[in-house]
Amino acid sequence: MRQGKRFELVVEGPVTPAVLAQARKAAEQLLANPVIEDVVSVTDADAAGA
Amino acid sequence: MKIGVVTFPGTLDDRDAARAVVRGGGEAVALWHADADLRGVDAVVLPGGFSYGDYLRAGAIASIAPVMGPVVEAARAGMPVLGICNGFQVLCEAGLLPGALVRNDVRTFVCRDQRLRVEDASTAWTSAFETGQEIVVPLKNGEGGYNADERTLDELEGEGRVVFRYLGGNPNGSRRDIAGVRDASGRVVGLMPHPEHATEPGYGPTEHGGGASGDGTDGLGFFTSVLTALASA
Repeated sequence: MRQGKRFELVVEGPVTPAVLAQARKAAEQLLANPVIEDVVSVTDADAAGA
Repeated sequence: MKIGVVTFPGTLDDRDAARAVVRGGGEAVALWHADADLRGVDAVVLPGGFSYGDYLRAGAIASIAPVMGPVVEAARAGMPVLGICNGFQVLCEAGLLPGALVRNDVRTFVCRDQRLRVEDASTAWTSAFETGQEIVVPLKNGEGGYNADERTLDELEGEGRVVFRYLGGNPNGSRRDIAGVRDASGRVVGLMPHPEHATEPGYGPTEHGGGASGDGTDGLGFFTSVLTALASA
């Protein structure tokens, strides 16, 4: 088992679906390497009450 | 022949790599991570170290550094590129070589004189060797475990693209004992062990009889091979 990583991104303005989609793209193309890592979750932390 | 050696912030082995290029008979040209072009070099070495402090993942940020744009473009057009250790990680992150390197299964940094078998002496960086030849060069890494999915590993084996395999024990949990691989053309090669540290008598490996050369200079063949490849191109 290997531990995972958590990235908190701060954006200017509201977290729209387009912004979330951009964050997911960043997660899949840069923040994670799909050969060895999986993107588990990309969510709006404020909306989730976190 | 001009061989470029790239320095990223955090690179450690650029000086040794440049020295190895010269000892092999080439002209070493220093390239900087922020360079927009390759200064007319004929081949490129991406040396070892901890580019950008290994932030995000080893080699991840270096793979999108400005200099990597022209390196990737040139590699796809047939320019010989050698990635050593962190340079291997950069080549994998840049998509020039398949797979990825993960933390050693032993959970510790490993530093030792490493026996390797040259599985493919047809590449631009290994023609000075014989296929099946055993060599000894230093190995020093914390994230050297070569990983890829089974299909990719089968493809690499089937196409003869495993260039080096560990002998005398797998030091880091690499799948199928793989120490280095090449691209389809055989001009882009990456490996975790360090041939540039084994090019000068008295400063290379002393274990295992100093390797095939007997004096710890088994790594020199990488740097003479590329000159042969360039001369015949």
